[in-house]
Amino acid sequence: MDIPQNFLLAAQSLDDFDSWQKLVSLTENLPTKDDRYPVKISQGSPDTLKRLLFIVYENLLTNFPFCEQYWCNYASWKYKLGDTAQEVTEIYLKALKFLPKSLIIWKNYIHFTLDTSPSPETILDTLEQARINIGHHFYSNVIFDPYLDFLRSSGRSKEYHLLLRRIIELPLYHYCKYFQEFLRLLEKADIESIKYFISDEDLKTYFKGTSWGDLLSSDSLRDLKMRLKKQFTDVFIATQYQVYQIWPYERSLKKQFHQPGKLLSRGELNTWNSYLVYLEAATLRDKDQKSSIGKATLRTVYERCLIRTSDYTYFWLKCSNWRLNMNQLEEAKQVLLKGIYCTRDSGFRLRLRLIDLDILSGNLEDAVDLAVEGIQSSPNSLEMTIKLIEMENLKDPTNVLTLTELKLDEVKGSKYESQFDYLFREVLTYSQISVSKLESFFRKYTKSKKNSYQYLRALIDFYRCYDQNGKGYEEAMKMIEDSDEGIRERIKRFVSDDEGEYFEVAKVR
Amino acid sequence: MGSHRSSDSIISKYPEWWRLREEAAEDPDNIVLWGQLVDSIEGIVASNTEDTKKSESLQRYIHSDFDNLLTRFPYLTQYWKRYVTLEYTLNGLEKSALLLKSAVESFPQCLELWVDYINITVSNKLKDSVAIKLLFEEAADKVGMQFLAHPFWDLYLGWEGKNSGIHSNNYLNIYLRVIRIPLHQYARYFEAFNEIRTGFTIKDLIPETSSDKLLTNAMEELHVGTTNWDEVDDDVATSLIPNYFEKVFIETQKGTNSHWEFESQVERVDFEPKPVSTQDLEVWSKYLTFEEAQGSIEQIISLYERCLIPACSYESIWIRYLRFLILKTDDKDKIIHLFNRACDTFVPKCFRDIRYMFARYYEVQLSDSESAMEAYYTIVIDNPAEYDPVGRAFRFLYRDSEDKQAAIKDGLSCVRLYIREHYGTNEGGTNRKRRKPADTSEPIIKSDHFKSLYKLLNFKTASQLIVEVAKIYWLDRHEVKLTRELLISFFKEELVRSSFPYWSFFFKFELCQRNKKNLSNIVNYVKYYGQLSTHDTNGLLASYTNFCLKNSTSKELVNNSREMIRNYLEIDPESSTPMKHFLKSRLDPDHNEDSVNKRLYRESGHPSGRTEGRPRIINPVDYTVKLNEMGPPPLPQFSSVEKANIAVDFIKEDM
Repeated sequence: MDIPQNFLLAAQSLDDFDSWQKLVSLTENLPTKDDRYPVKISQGSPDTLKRLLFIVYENLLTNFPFCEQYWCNYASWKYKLGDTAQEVTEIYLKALKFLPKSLIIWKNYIHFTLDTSPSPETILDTLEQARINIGHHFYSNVIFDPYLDFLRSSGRSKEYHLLLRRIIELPLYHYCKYFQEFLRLLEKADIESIKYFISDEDLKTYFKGTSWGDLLSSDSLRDLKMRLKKQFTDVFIATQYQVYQIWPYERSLKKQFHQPGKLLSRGELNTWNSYLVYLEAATLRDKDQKSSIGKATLRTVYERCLIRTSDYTYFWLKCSNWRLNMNQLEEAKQVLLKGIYCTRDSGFRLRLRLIDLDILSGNLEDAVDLAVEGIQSSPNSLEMTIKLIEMENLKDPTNVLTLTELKLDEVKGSKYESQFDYLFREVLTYSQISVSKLESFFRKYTKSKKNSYQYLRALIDFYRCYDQNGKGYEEAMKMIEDSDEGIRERIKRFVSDDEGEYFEVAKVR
Repeated sequence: MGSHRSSDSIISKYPEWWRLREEAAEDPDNIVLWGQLVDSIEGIVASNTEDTKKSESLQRYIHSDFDNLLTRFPYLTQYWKRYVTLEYTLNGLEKSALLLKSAVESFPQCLELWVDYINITVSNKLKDSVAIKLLFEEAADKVGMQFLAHPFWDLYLGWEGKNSGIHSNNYLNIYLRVIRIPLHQYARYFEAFNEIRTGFTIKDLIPETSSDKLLTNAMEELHVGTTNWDEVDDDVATSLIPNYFEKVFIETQKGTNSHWEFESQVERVDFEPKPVSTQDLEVWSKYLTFEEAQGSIEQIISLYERCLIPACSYESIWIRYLRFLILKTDDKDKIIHLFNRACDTFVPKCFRDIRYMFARYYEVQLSDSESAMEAYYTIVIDNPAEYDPVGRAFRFLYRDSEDKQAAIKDGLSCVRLYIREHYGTNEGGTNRKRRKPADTSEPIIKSDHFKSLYKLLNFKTASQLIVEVAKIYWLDRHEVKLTRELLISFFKEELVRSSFPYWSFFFKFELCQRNKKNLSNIVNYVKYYGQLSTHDTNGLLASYTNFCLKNSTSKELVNNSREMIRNYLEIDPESSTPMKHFLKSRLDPDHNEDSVNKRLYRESGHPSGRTEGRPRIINPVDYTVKLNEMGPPPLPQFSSVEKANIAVDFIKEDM
């Protein structure tokens, strides 16, 4: 069967997400005469159409991997159209590898597993994975509700108790609901189930003189429950306090899914940022990183934030810095790597940082690869050229001047020439290039009557501060006198008595 | 605002007026307030005209308010006119005419005020005809060249016509002037001129001393060889006159058309206390360039003055105007007057370039050191939080002194004396580890000029003198060792902890000397002990990080990676405060980062309030352990649960 004509037409203009959405809805239905009575594709539909649907989804997800719901839809179509549960599970796992803190994907994955898996152990394992990975999400009730239902319906009373015991410590939107249920369990507890609330050891330590046997008396049991209730009410107070603290942020974050190509409001970006800052301050005293609920919440919020703000280099760098601050260099690099491919990374902010981190961890080759890849995508990037020269200096310092000259020759006469004249200022900062070498380097260009602002500024800097003994300074001043008025004015501001910006060091980005 | 306590009771009858004048005194740049004040005064005068007329003290208040307003904003034509109307109501014609006189003195470029002043003087015969003639001439000098000056010229012609008669040479002479000015209504004047010129001889119309190019052309065309009109035939003279004036007409028409190109583009020509649009600024700039290229000096000055009505607070235009005048004229009184007008009335004090130019003008053009010094010191006084005025003042004193070494010594003595008087001797906390003991002898400032400068120094600006001397040592004398010794001798002084010029200069110096060790010392000191702004500190840190990447081996970088990464965390605006270790360290007097962490923790993300304790479970269940891998978790333990309901302690500020 041929590919339908309207599909080909739609596929010609895929410059924005809307077109992709149209294409998806087109491929989800069978081609009909006038599209008036759409019929969804089914298992019996022609293979070409089914394959087409998968190809569209796969391409869409390659281009827009943060679209969580599309991952789920894809998985769901795959199952509907004949793939095995195992194959579909792989899709979910692939999605979760990319978006480990996606509540939407986890929710769909759990329901899929609950619906399709015959093995309670597999289900339990999946649910546990979900709890560990996404349990600290403010709205993780969508995970815990089916989990508790499953435990209840499968008669796993002990696990049911233990799960609730964990949930009540988490700052969740539905924290009250779970606490009420926990209290109800405590209220109903008998001599057997009370053991799910307190261990042998604690019974001995905290309720001196009490043994399991003593609890056979109903008064003792009631008394113990009363005391436990008081103890757990304090858990409620602590959790409630945390919920109150994060609620103002959560309340402001109305949309929590990725919208490709859509600019976010300043207010929303500020909220994400202050939410992260708040959580970072709140976890400053959490020593044990591994089991800290605060740290796990923070990590979840970072990942949630990046789903929503994945177009913004700001949050990628922030997340990478947060990892660096915890001494997690490899994780920081992973964040940057993901950021580089998920944003436009204008100005190579993320790439340059990743290069620096590679240099600092001794992976010079990886750093060079990244820079070369960058320069291939944008051959006239000054920043990347500077970085490449910087790395060449680490490999063979004698090459710095040669490389600089090569680049200057390459752009000579092009519109980038004046931009790359900044390299003259760069070479001054390499201590290993002797002043006499620099002198002859500058001479070469003085002869060719180079007179851009960056060149003259470097020249004057060189003769004024590096090579004070020669007569170059006067010659350089003369060149400035002969230059364009605009350049002359700018340079004179920092060399004459009216100097202003001369002694300013590089500005922070 | 010149309030006289003895007569306060009078004005206190008008609480609204009283309130507004108090507010205007506090916020003299607020034109809206001034507008309300004037409205209020006018209302009071309208409803109590007779009382106000009688009360001298009330009138004093009115005058004081208007004078204050119009001294602050002399270019507000409408307020001048309202003032004049009020004065007319209260004190009659002569007083209002006097007021108009001061209006045109304060705002001499204002055509409208000149026309009003002349009108009131002429129609009420307040001056004799000789004085009136002089008045007209003065006005012609000030506003006659303006493109829309026709109301003035009409007035002048009308008066002269009546005074000397329309057949008089005086009347003719005005026409002979006006037809050469590129006015908007030039054609009307030509028409009238052509009508009257037939009644005059060639001698009246073209003075024998004339020597303009147009005349020469006309004479060449008609083969006239002399301007001694007695020797020229009458017929020839009769053809020469229209021929010549036709040429004048064409020339003026050309002038008007080319001016119109610019005039039609300028959107606002009056003063308003708001910025001039970029488009208008561009047109003015092109217009000035055009006029400078082809206009007479009077026309150029007239255009500058007009441009400086809407753009009177624009330093760059004043500078351009003064440069032009300095280059083209040698009227130093006028130039100084203009500098004073710009600096005292129009250009805000934070714009220092024109003030430096003024000082340099005294210094270089007039060789008047005393006035130059005064100008430099005024800039220092007006900008107590800026570094460069002190630097410039020092450089001036250095240039001006014959004994350069003594100037340097005095400059450094100023700093040492400042340290001694404000920070004590070597007792300061960071002074104890001084590498090289500072000069222990009593610092003495010998020159009077430096003594005056010393009085102007403050904790922020004093350190600039160290930098200035270091610049002389390094850049002029190429004394690297001496420069370094000088800089190091102040390294741990309390004074320089917050001095950006000192640290940035020191950094730049060592960068150029390629002294890795000293650079590292500087940055380490600044990041832990410096009191620079975060922005400046991070700027140094960024430069240093950049330097390290270019001047270390791979191995050195790997070994030093932890510190480099901390630098990145510090520099990035993306990093949250908890990631900025040096900043946190600087925030604590004992450089204990942990105590700042505690503070941040208690502030919950906002420094305006803090919580006494955050209730928390100190032994949360390890969420990474699976459910079936452990039994019931230990009973929860808490900290600060009892403090959950304690209200947040907000910083109390008196509003």
